[in-house]
Amino acid sequence: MSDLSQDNSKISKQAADVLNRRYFLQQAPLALGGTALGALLAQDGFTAEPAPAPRLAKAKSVIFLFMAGGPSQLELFEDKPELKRFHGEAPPASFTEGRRFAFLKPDAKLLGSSRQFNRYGECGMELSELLPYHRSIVDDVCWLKAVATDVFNHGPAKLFMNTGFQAPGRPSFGSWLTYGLGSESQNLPAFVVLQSGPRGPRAGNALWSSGFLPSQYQGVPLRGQGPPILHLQTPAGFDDEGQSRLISTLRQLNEVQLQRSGDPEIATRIAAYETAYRMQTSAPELVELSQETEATLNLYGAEPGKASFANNCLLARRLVERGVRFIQLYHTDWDHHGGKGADLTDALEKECRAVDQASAALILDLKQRGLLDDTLVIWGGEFGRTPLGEVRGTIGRDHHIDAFTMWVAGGGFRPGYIHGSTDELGFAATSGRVHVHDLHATLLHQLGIDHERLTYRFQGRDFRLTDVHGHVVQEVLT
Amino acid sequence: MYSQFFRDLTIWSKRESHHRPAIQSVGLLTGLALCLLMAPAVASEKLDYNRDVRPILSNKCFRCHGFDDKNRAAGLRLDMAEGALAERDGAAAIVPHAPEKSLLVERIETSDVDLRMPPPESPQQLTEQEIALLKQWIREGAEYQPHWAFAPLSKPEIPSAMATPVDNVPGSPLDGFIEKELLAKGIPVAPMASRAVRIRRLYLDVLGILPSPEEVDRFEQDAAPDAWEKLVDTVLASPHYGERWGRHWLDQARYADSNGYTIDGARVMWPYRDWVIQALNTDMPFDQFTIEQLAGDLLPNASKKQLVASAFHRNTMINEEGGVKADQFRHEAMVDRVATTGSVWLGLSIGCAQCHTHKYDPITHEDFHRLYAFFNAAKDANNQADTVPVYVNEVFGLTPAQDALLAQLKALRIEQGKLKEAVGKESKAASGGDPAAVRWNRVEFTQFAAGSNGELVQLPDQSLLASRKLAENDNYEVTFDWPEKTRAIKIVVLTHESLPRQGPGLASNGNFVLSDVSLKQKDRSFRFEQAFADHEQPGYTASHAIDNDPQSGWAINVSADQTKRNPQLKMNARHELVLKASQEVEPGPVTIVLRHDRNAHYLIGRFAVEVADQWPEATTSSSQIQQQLAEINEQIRRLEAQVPGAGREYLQMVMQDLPKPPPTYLLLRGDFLNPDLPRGELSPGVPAALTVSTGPADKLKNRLDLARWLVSKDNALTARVFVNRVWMRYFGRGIVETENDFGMQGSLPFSPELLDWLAGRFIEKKWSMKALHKEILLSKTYCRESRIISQALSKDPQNRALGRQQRLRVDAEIVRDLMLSASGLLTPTIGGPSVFPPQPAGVFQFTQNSKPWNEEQGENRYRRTMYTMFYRSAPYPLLATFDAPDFTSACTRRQPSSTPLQALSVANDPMFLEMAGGLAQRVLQDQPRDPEAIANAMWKICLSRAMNADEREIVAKFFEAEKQRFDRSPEQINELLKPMKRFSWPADLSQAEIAATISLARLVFNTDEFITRN
Repeated sequence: MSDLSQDNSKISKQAADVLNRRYFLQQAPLALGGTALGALLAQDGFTAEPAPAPRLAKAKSVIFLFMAGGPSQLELFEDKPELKRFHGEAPPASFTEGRRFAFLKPDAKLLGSSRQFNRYGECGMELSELLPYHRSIVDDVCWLKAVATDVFNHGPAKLFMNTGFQAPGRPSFGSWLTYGLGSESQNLPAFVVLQSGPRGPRAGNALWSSGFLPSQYQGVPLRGQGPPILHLQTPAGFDDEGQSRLISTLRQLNEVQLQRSGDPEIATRIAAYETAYRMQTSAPELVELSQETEATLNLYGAEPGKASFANNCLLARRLVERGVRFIQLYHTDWDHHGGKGADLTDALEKECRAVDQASAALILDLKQRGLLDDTLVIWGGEFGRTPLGEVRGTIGRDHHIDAFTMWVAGGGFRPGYIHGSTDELGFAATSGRVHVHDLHATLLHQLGIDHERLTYRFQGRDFRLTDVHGHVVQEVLT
Repeated sequence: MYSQFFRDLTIWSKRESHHRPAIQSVGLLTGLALCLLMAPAVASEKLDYNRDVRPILSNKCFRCHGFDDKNRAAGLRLDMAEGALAERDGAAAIVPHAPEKSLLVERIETSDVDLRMPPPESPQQLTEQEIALLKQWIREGAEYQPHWAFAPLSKPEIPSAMATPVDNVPGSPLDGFIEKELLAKGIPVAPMASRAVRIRRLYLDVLGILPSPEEVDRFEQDAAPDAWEKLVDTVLASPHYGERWGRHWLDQARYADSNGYTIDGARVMWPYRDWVIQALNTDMPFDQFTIEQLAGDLLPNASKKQLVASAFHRNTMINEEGGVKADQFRHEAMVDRVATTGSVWLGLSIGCAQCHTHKYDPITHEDFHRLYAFFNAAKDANNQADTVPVYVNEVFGLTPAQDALLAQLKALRIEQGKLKEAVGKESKAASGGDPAAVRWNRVEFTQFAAGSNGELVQLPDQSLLASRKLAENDNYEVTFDWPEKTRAIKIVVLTHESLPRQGPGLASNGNFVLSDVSLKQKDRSFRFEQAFADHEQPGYTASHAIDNDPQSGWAINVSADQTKRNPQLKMNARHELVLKASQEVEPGPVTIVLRHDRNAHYLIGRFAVEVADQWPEATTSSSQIQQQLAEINEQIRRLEAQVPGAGREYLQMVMQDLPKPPPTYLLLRGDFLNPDLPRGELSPGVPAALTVSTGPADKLKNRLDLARWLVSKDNALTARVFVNRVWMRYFGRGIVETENDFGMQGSLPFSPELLDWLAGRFIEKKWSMKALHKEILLSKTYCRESRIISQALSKDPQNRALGRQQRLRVDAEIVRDLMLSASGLLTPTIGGPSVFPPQPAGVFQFTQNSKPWNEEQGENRYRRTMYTMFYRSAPYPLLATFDAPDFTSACTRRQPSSTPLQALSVANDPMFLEMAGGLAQRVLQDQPRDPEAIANAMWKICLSRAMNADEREIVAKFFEAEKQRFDRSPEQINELLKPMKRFSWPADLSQAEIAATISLARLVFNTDEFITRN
């Protein structure tokens, strides 16, 4: 066996083309190592060639308005006259048997809502007076009135809604999606997380973790204050001239190494630096809400420079326009157990005021710009709240996992359709139950992905977002 | 990685018939895959069941016709000869030597969609080539073989290696196995890498830091015939070896410094980390290493170190959220312990059998629960449970002198406690003044909340009353308007009839432990520099509430001594903690957090906050007791300076079993509320499939038995799995590529003989990990060049046969460690409590609780990255960006990526710019003055080589342009140098030259080569 000549001239000729990904995709298998090919193909989720969505996909991006803490469907979406009638009485045993609650005592009594409900729109959806702006979108969204989940503590339930599993460690919906479909944005992350409300969501990082998927699929938090992405700012002592010199010089040095070693990973690294440099310009522009018209700002109730749910909704639209695949807004805190700061009066009203207008505005704005057709907007929390009262300083409601309300708009979900119903006290679904796994399957379906076939091999097993469950709910689709 | 990626790309649109790929490039990929996978064509050579046939059956057939009897279709089993060959209704699925008579062949070839196998709707379809292989195998006699990984180790003959040592690389028998394959396949072989490349490779792989230019020179000039071996020995003897390889092990141990889930409070686990480092550095044999971690607590007369080691499985998470059920999260921890043991020692996905019998591997649902039974004896139930007290450095071994000092210190502290009690009211004078001398105003809370969703209720006197529904280690966060510019604040704990024994705490006796109080105003955090209380429990003094240690705190139980001195003193009464902020707090909203991390349910039950307009200044006191106390304080201070960690004791969680373990049942669908009672109690045991060749291992009773079985000669998997992972770290890929799956679905070893030889050698050398490292490091295979050889690309594009080395990006921690070692700033201290290096603001914006993060200013600012405090809910950003997992479960391999966020981090993080400043300082100290000499010195430090001709010109231009830029804008110089006041610069250089030197250092740090192991 002869010693090898150092002939890498073939590879060095390619160096001129290293940034042309398509070229690499075509040439790589014969010319370059496999590890690198994998990396090139998987890439970073930012700069990958936009993977064309399958032809039958109805939607290409997702905005998930996550109401962290679990909003009370019984104060917002479900008028239960029977619950009001039996207010203060013990529930029939058949309703509570076998149910596990986080905090409720066995002697808890039924709690009728004091809210006024009316029917709105052609679909006749019931809404309480707490959500006046929602009246304008009742016929644009698909109402899921009997969503069910498996777990009743906040952290595990949030993980379940995001990853289909109650312990940390699995990829979140946004990670699965960007893994499956790639990114359409050259300059921004494909999966972005926004946050409003008094604190971050329970379980934190694990909610937008890529789990066992490669880490380029993890969600990137856009920060409310300062530069939106970590380390977006050129450090002190370096202006744009200095930064662009760094990037161009790095490219030259890295190309020298690419020629010597022939390792295409170096080409990936060069591309990563150039994308990073573009992000430094595009991300600050993204959060410049003052570019919006007065009318748009008013529609959302957004105020540039002030961190709020409304600003985040407007940002979400701007992200969708720029090709970002999955945008998740967390708004805390909907955990109305009763007691100061968590009552069903002032505290609940405060959250409703914070989200009602902007949630509706997002739908109206997307619709008017023709973006709603291929954007899925989801609204809901990790669970709902019990028909039983929980006595703390004031009466509130405990976590309820068997039936609660969410809505989905756009992306081929039937507008103005009410799916599912619950029993007269609101404990359980009587029709149209949609389990979290079913919701995931249906959302993926609209994105052109068969939930049973979006898999990843980890520790010897093919994992899915829906585990071994999930059915596409055809009734809610157009 | 590529095949993994390809296999994973199984997304298809269901609505489209004929399985058209949802991703267009898949079509292209399929084409590529055929070129790449080097799948055996239908060959004249006889097929091997394990290599050629089983993967097809396993992927395409076993799901319905495999080991799992619950889901077996048509009663047909293809995973063993008995099932496949059995005649049923006059026909058999497989008739050896007769494909035309085999039903299997008929069904996989038919065009009738109702009969076709696999069913057309299955995503797993057979290719033409696979059908041909199956037919060939049947024609050849359809011989089944047992699964290779479960078989005993073979003793392969060592093929003779090529040629003699090259450039002092002695080589290893393992080269023979590699070279045999290379020769057979005609794959070109790379030469030995240069000495400069080799020494940098060795340092990065074994130590995770850079060799100094002097070390590089010395090795390059060493003419000794055993120069390489000497270097390898030196490096393996470095204490940094234990850090680098300890970190790999900690990945598998899912080590973290916090409890996980939503509250994610801090925990003390670093003594276990120290133990791992120490065990590696002393080359503890891997069998003992295994036993002490899995069952150190069950060893006869277990030492404290062995108890510390037993914390391997205490790294499971604890859910501190309000309203959680301890039984549920205890179960989650047990499941994790089973799954982790399976993947770390056996390389098997045993966790899959939690809900049902494994579809592909012979691990039954019952096997899972019999393993669970080993762990079900554990005492901890979603709580801290048992702990041992550990001093800093104790695990590494304290000197007799230190032991003596610590004993002295301990005695003095007891004495100090007694004196403090004795001082009684006067003790206030010793640490501050009389609080009654100043005016206190009770504040009105504008916001208040408990960390969990348990509640606090405001009473008319502005105090807050806690309910009993709080999480067991809940924290309280209250906000109020600070009335005026002052430093004095007081926490008043109060009794209430709703509290146990009227409180003021929520513990059953009315006690509490306030572990820490912190104060924040806008983005500014305040420390407290003084604390005293009207009463403190011995060992739980006021100062413990401001020491930022979750394991110590202020409590109020009354000792017999205290009662003797003051019969009026009561625990269940009002008490006060007076605190002095380190600086004056401005008027305006402030937030105070009261933490209770020490004991479960030891929460404050009712409290109010008061602020005084001035700090009660100390009045002089001449009491004799106070003088004694002052003396003792002084003695303690002096002693503390002489012992590591100021002689503080840390309590680390350890494993302990219940005297009477609860019965273990099979849990239907893995649901812990759904035990299969009719089946009866399960006894502990290991999966039968793993003991086929040795006979049943049914005498195993507890974790210690399990641990001993794992490293016994009866189980070949442990050694195979371990040597394979070590191999993977050195070559980027294991001998078995699926390092976490040695089951039926996993890939085959590229050289089964090499794997068995290496595993056998490992055991033969008494499980010495260092001997295993040395074996690999001395091999020619390790020492080859990594550059891609164009002639080899067509024959082995992925370098599976290892004709050359691989270029590998270093792990997240090492990215920073390399900069630290290049900058000359590295603090090389080994072990100890976790540290808080600079972290960008706003990391906790997205978590439920803000975590304390007091940025280190002293030498701990520059400790190795593995010592950085790790919160599972908000990992240190650098780690997450560079592919470190969040350690919620065992990680056996990190997936490297290359992303723009990484580029932003290295280019823009001020922490790295500071290190660039350090490198500039280090280089300039050595007196080079012209830009080329400066650059060359940096190249030598960072890349262990001189600049080459191509680079010289690029770098010269860069330096000149940067110097000019700084010349033009002195304000940029000022901004750059402002945070670098700690560095000193030569006086004979212009500011612009210094700034350009720093910019050049930043450039080197950002090159691909810097963070790559060549």
